[in-house]
Amino acid sequence: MTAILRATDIRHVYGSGPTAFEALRGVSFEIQRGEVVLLLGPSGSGKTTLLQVIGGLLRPTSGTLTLAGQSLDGLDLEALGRVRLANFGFVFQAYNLFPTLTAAENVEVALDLIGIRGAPARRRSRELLAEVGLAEKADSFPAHMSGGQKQRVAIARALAADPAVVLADEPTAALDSHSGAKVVGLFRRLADQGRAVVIVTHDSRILGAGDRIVEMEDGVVVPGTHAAGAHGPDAQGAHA
Amino acid sequence: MTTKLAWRNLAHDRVRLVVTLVGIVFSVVLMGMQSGLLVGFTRTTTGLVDNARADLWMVPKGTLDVDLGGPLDERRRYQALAVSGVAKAEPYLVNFARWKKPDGGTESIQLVGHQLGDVLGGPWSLETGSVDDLRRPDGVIVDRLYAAKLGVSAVGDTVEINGRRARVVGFTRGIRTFTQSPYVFTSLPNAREFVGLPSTTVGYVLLALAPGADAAAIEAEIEARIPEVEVYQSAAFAESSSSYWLFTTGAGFSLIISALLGLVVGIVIVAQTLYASTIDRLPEYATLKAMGAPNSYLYRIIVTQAGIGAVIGYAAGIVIVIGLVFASREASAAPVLPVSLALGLGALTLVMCIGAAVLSIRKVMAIDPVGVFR
Ligand SMILES: Nc1ncnc2c1ncn2[C@@H]1O[C@H](COP(=O)(O)OP(=O)(O)OP(=O)(O)O)[C@@H](O)[C@H]1O
Ligand SMILES: [Mg+2]
Repeated sequence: MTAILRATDIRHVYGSGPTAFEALRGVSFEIQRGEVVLLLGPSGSGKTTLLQVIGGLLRPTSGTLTLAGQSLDGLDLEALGRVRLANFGFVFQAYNLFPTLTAAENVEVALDLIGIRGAPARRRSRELLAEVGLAEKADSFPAHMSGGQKQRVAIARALAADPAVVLADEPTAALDSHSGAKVVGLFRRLADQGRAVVIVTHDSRILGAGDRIVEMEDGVVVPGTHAAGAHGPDAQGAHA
Repeated sequence: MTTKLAWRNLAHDRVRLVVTLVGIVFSVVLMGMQSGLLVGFTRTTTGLVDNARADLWMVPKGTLDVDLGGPLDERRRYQALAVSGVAKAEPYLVNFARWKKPDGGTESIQLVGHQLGDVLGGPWSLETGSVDDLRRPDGVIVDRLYAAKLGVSAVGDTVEINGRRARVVGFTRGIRTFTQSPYVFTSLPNAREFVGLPSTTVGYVLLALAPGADAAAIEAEIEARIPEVEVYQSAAFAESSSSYWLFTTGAGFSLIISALLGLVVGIVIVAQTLYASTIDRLPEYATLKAMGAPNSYLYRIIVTQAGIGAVIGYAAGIVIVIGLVFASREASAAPVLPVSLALGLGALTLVMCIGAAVLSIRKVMAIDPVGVFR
């Protein structure tokens, strides 16, 4: 099985001169369709930086990145934007929904970006909300939703372009355990539909949800964690 | 979707929306009234020239303004007639005089004398009476706007001009004067009598050209033949008269400054409220960028916000301007709102609002989508 996403020997240095800080010091990472990978590690270990790099948001200082076998190295910002639009779904701790738009309209913005408008967009946004179990909240504004519901709207929005890879940074950090479990269950389902899902988390409650755990420390992957492995025996266990 | 988002962003904060719209309305009204007054004053200062139906004006050398013309020898008229292409040359006189009201007070007036029975010069927009009544040796026609100022109210009222008896034989409507000395129309002989000028003295000679004549060539030829005079084409004399009053007196300058002030106030208010609403949405805009939205998508949201503000603000503002123009139509300084000015104002409002969006656009351009993951 070939990796949908492969990062090889990624280094990233923030700043320059005496204040320069090497946040990633030679990280290799890959993920396949159908996998949920949990990215763990202490604060400052480089998890978010790695997520930004593999999501095409941050160009690493060195290293190579391929998406479905295609190199992303050397693409300019605009081209990277198009790659993200077509291939990545992003989910954030703070949801980042437009408070002035309803749940359905927030999803429609993402559809608008890929050229789906009008009645088809309205239909599709409701389908996506139904997929995350929020059909009845389609016309609610974020202010009238719980954190878990907002996060599920954000996931529906991330799915607008049917991305191959979903990247989430601390998606459950602000949620109670029940909402968190629902969100994690959703990520599991996205992977089972054939997507690759990377979740950065500190949340020990969701450790069981991943196929693999990749642990980082001081800008490198801790040896012995499965940065490149396919479904290992323990990961299979978590799958159940 | 960008339009919906823009509208929701605007409508979300009612107070800010009201401030934005008040700012735009204020700006539209200020710009509209000041430029309306400018147009009104321009028309006032050129009224005599625009309505004289002359092709060319022969004026004493150095004359810049129709209200301030020096004396000219009537022989110039015959010299002009000798130039081929000149179909008509009629004497015309504009002169300050003192008007004594029936109740005793005095006012300064601009006496306008023209050749009776001729198409050049004379009063227009006649409301009561007839130009023929100026054949009376004391007949004068005044404008209704200044009736109260001049202490008259009806045909038959008698007054004194420079100590001579005069009688109102008619009223015009809407002929204003920039100098605030009302135009009082009479026949050329009457005017000479009132002012005490000899029968060989005129103020201007109004020229009508034969069909197909070359105005510029005739202008040059007369100026070459008669060194004491200058010849203006009608539009050029109107232009000279209005810029004389508007710019040598500073009136035009201050109107333009006030209009620009309106523009600046509008830009500042719109820029500020738009910027504040953009700052409110930065995390969401960063998210759109992270998702892969091009900058142009974000600009569209902000520019649409500015455009919606412009359209609503302009609509409300122009209604107020039209109301004010209507309300002041009888005032001595009346703003005018030609369609071209209203359209220009609309375009300027749009430019103003979109210009005010530049700050916000720069802000979203600088958003680093990386910032959404923290
Ligand atoms: N823009 C930046 N400029 C300079 N240094 C940065 C920048 N962003 C991150 N860093 C540094 O890089 C290191 C890795 O940061 P990163 O955000 O990837 O850590 P993290 O593992 O996600 O931490 P946390 O669990 O706290 O989110 C940290 O030491 C951080 O201070
Ligand atoms: Mg982090």
